[in-house]
Amino acid sequence: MAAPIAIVKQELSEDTDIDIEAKIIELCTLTPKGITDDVIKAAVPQCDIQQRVIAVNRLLSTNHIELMKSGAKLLYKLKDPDAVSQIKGADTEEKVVFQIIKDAQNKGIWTRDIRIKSNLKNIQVLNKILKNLESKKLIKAVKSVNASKKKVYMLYNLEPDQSVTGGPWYSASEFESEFVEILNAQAHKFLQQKALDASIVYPEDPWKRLQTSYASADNVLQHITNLGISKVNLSVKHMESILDTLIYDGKAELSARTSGSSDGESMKIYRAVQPLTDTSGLVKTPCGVCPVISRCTVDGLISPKTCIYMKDWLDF
Amino acid sequence: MAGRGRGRGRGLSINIEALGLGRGEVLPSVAQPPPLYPPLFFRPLPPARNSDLDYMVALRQELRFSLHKSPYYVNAPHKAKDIERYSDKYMLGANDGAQKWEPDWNMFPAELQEKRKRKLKATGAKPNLKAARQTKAPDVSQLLEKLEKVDESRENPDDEGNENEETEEGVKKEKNEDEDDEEEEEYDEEDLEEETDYNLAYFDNGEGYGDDDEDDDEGPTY
Amino acid sequence: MSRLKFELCEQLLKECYGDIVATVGMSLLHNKATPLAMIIHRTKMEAKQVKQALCSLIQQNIVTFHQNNSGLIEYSGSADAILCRLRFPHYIHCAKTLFGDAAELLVEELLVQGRSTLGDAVNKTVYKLNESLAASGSSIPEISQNLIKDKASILVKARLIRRCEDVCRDKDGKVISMNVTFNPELLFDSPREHDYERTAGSKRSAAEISEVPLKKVKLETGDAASSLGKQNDTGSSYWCVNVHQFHHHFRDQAIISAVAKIIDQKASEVMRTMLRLSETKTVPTDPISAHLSFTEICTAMPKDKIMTNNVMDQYLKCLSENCCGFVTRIGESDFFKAVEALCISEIETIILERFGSKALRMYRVLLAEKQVEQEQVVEKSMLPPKEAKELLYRMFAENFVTLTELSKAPDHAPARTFYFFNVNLLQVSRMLLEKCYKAAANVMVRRQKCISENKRLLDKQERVDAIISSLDVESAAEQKEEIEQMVTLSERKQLKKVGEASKVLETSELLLGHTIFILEAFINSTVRPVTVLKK
Repeated sequence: MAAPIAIVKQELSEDTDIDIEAKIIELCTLTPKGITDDVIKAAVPQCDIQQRVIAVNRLLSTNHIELMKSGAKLLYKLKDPDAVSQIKGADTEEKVVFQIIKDAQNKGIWTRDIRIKSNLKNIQVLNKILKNLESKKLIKAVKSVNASKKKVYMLYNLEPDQSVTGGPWYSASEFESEFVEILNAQAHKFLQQKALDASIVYPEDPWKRLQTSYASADNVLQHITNLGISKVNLSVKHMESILDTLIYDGKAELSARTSGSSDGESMKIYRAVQPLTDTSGLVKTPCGVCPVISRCTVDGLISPKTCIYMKDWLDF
Repeated sequence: MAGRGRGRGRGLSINIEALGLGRGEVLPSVAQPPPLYPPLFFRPLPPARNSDLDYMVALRQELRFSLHKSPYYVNAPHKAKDIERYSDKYMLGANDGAQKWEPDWNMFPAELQEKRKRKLKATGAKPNLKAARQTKAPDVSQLLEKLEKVDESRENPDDEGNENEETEEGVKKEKNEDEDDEEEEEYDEEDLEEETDYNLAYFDNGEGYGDDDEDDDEGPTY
Repeated sequence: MSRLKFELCEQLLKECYGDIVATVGMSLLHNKATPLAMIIHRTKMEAKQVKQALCSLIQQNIVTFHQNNSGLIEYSGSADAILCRLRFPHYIHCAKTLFGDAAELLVEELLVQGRSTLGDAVNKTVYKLNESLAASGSSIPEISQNLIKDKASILVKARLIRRCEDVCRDKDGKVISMNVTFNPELLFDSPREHDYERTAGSKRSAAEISEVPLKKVKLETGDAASSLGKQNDTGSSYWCVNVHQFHHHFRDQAIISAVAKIIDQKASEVMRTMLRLSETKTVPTDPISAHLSFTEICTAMPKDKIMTNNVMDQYLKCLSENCCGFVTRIGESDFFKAVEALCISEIETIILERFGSKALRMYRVLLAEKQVEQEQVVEKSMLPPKEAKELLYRMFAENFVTLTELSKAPDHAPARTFYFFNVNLLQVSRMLLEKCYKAAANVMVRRQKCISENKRLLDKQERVDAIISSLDVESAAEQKEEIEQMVTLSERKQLKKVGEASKVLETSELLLGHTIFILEAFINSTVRPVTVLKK
């Protein structure tokens, strides 16, 4: 609006301004979804558009309301009073940073990315801001599981996402290998037991026996959940990765069974197996595990005649 | 030098990792230099023992035994002794086996045969010679003399083979090649027969034919 | 040919046939075909010994000879033939399990002699059997020749023994080179009567007897009445062991035991029957066996293991769906895949023992996923990242895994390059094969050292035993005791230890032989698609 409007505005009493603002806030509180300009107009018909605009602007700058866009219309929404107090006294830069972090939601955002988005060139300033926000308990730093040096920031009250923490296998960003191993062992036991049961039930029927010794990931999951070892809730996908490790251990094998039921897609099923061959003869001699075999010659310093590994091995 | 952590160090010096030690394992108390045989990360499994394997081990030992005794186990020939001892005749050397086996020359190249026996052949006195051979008697007796000289100068039985080759070549040049071949052929088959005491009894050159151990007992019979 | 393989060959030759033969053999292995003079020159040994050694080697089917263009006879050695010596006990044991004691002795005889006439072998076997019968004092009547002869025919039918290749002769009738058999089937001709008659070459007395007919032929030229090698246009009348067939048996055996592990014992019986059937039908070097029909398999099952059609059908189903592609629905067995699977399994056990179960997991990830980046491996195997990385690098350092680089940027900067890990099975197999050779050689050296160190004790023990056994005849228990006491307690302990150590070393040798076999089988199956039937 042009300057004369502002002059005109000044002639108005302050009461009107405050009234408008209060009215707007009142309306916003009533309609948490947000109010449009028209609503305000209807509520304070005596103010003209300039006054409204000024009131709205002031409210915005004091962070009592925030401006949202819904389609083509503009909405004014009441801002969280806590947020108001929080950000009060913060300067714009902090606000910007905070906004960026908020936008990142539960995935968090890396410092470098914040810097890029906020266009803040000075790292020190950014760090100071982050520290400030952290001390105000507005944001927190979470160690990413992928790179332990990386820290991602997210709002204080949000739960970090799977990709950051690594899911049930990570607690406090530490890979819990023991947990994995326990699950692995339990799953294996379960499959073995199933095979055993199958052989008891069908001693003469090899095909049926084979079929029943298979278990799906679901079955295993249920079994494990029943055992109650896991503090975290595991999904079928998690179970599948555990079963995959069993396959990679050579202790189980994967097959597919097309489920005759409604979905008709093939289901992954697993079965306990044994390795194909016995332990190789090579590793039954010290030479198979010898670290210095490349330097071993018949008459050298390291030779089969003087090999202490052999000596130990033969003395058992 | 990778640093002080080598024989005794706690902590992760690069050397230790390279040597395959696990962390926290007790290091051998060796000062410097690094141990020649670093402690094993994983011990080898004890070898499995089941009845099949035991049987095969026993088989192996038996096989080894029979192979050693077999004529195919070629031993170094008797070294020339300073004095021929009486006990030599009764020593059961593996040489006996080696001598007893003669390959079936039908399946083996002729050049692998022992040329030393040509000496015998050249001496000519064979009981089952064809009549034609008798015509060569004069030639043969010349050879005989020649070879006797050679024999007398012979000291080491091991040289016998070489010397015989030389003389034999000389002999060859004198004789007709065809006849040679013929005789050679006959000799090839008759050779075994001629090793009998009959032939050798004629030619007792005190020193014996070195490693003709089997002929030794022919000595006293006549 | 690799250095380590040669070392192992040298050790084997030394052990079986002595130093001289070993030197000659090794010289032949290192150089290709060499004439006699060259060998003598190279080995710097005496001609006589070289010749003797060569004769031994030829007799043992390690060396063959051919005439080259300039008319000289050249000799060449075969390393694989030498390596077979490692597996002799396996062959004998196999013969025993398949065909019984008599077969075992026959095979043993042929192995020790290298080649022999059937007559000889049969006679010796009969002698040995009767001797052991007499020694054990059983009342079973003496074994007759005919029984053994029958066994021999069975062995020939099973292709476990065969005729040796005949020799070529030049115009003068001199032996010049060994025949390459044009028709392998001739080698498996059933033995005829005259095969049993000849006993040439092994004993002097026998030689004398047989010399007469030999001479006869020579003098009365052209008379083919007597049974000389020459007159057979089907092959010589010398017989030797057909190790190829034994190798097939070993391979089959490995497959059968693998099947037993995957499914169960009965399934392995089914597999065994299938393999036996396909033996007669398949070309030995084909990667896939001939088709077998359901009824064929059913009827061929041994009597005590017969099962209903239904069950049989189910087993076949199991086999075809399960066994890593050993058997396909059509009823053929895929040997290539089977051997590959066995080889992979061996390698996995080696990794398990050498690096640990975690490393095994990562290795299988690599096997399954072909090209993987480091992080992916770690992720899939769900192991603590630090440990996983360390193990991966260790495996890389020992050449179990290979690394390929793929750079994103033209400057190949490490930060912008993909590093893919993968497993090259052939390479790993070869590497492990070398290790096996080395291990086998080491074990043999160690055993010999063990024996030579304790030679004095062992000799003493031998003498004591000999004396005791001779004393047995004359009772005198006190004398026996006295002599036994000559061997003190500590010495006895030591001897026991030596015996144990020796046993352990021998067992390892045998097991190593088996591993070598599987690795070699895999490498050969990838390298040589078609081979001529060799010794």
